[in-house]
Amino acid sequence: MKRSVLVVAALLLASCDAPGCGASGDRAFAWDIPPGFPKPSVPADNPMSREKVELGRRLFYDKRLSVNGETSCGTCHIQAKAFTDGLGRAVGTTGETHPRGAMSLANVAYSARLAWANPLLDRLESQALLPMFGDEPVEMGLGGHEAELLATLRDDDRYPELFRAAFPEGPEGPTIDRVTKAIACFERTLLSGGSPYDRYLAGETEALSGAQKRGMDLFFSERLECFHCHGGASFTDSMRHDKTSMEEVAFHNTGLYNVDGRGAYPSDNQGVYELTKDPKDMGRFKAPTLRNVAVTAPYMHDGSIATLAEVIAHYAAGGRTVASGPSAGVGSDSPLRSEFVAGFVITEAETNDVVAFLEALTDEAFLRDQRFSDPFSAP
Amino acid sequence: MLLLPRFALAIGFASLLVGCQSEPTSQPVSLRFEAFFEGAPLACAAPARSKEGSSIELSDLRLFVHDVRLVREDGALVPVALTPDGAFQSRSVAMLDFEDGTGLCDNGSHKTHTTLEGRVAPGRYRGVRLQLGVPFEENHQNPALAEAPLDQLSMHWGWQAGYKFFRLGLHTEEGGYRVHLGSTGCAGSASHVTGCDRENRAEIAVDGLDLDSGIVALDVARLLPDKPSLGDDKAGCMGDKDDPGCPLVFTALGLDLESGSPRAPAALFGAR
Repeated sequence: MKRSVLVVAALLLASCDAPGCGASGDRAFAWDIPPGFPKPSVPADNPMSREKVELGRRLFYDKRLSVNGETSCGTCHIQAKAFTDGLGRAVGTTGETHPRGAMSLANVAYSARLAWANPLLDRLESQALLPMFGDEPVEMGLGGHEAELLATLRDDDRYPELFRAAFPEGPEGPTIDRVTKAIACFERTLLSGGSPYDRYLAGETEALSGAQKRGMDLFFSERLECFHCHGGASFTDSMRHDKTSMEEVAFHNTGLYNVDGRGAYPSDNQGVYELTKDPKDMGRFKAPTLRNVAVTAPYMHDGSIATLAEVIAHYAAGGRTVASGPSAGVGSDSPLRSEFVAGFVITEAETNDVVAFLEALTDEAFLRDQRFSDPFSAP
Repeated sequence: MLLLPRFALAIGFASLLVGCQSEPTSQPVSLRFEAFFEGAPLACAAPARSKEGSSIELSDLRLFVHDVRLVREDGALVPVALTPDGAFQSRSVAMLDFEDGTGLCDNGSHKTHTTLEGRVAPGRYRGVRLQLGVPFEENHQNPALAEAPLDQLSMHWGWQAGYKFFRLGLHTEEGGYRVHLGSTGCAGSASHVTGCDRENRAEIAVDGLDLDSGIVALDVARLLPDKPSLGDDKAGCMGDKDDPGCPLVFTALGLDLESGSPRAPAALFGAR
């Protein structure tokens, strides 16, 4: 059975947690890796340390990392919503709407690629520059204001000491590179593996209800095939960890749109095609993690599906039909739709069971963990 | 130095004196650039008026150039060594920056740089050749660690894992017009780009240029359609070959839209 093989493999990997184990050079860092999870891969130029993580957490929630002091990373990545923000499309600090929604950062340490549909974005350190400095749309609006940001950090009560502790070598003081490295270190600690499903896997047979167990079986069945794209410890298929020699990177067209009868997606959101211009990449997006999915509504890259039951209906139909309006089309007729989205028969009771299982992926402890919360707000 | 015998120092000094009397090995180059709209000067907080009478205001104009050569009177192309200044010029890449923080220009550092400084072999010159953009070897590095002028994050196009070669922002009563250009269809990863389907480095060729008193003019009107519909905030060209605003812009830059290769020098640039 696919699932137990993965768990056994993961346990074997996770058992190597003695100091000096692993190739990532962060011997002194005490990971808190959920049982059954592999160790995240860490770039050689940004080894983990407790001091970097603490600095990164502070920066993550610091609203002065925006041009008008109103937005931090935590504004769009809210811990209680598994680091999403409940919006279909995110809104930047100057009010510009992004074409897509903020992605969950739970287990982002294992993501081989970041963002919904960018085959190039392979490092958290690179990704951080986009919301901070990008202007299409303006997210945090720091483009052209690097010097002011660094002056703010230098003049702060606490940051000079935090930067010194996090980066003891080299010239003193904050740099943009150090800001992104610290934030990346913090993000790598956002590990979520304590859901009822995880406890069930660890042997607690009562951790899942009857409905959730039935839903789990359906999720992993050949009839539904959810696990093909939403598989593995992170329920995604774009993954890597400390021991992977080759990373898995995958993007899929699920037939969510078919505006021209030939598989096109709306012009503001065409997925990987926007970057590669390869026609076969039209409408291809990453399969995001389903962990904590019950708290990350609305769904899909543009938030165009409101509930989990409707998500299942989209896949059951083999692609969504949009009845009217500028995005109208029959997704199940899309010639570009993934072969894994062929549609299936499912009863209403079965849909409820699958939804119940997806709710069992919510890790309440992760959503409240003080180590990941906003240090600027009063407890 | 103290260990050198005195007579060796004397010989050294004599050589220097002899050197001063021989031919200089290079001469300075100061290449001035100015922006126009249909021949009228265009600057931040100094709008121009179009032929139809619209007021055109600049909100951004920044570009990278490299591979600077002067055209000698006999037609030979002679390379210019850029003078690094720790801000706008390295040895290999220069940034021209017209946005100065006044009016609608509020996108960058507010310092401007509109004259390229360098040195060239002695001679008489009548023109210049440059490439618009950042060379491939430097285009795909971590901008947070890059040396000036590639350290300005608003000129980085993280989405495409490279830099914006050219940024133009214009405003009229009807709305805005933006042009961004960079390499697209890049493969590999942000840490290691292996190549790009459309490099999009335009060639700039300006002849009949008086290197002492002349300027290189950028007439940005060449990047706008004849009757620009500026009502839509998305008007312009974001460097995307499917963008309806891009064919015109690419033609003005002499770039082939599909391949990203230069077919002709950019009509945007001319001598004054």
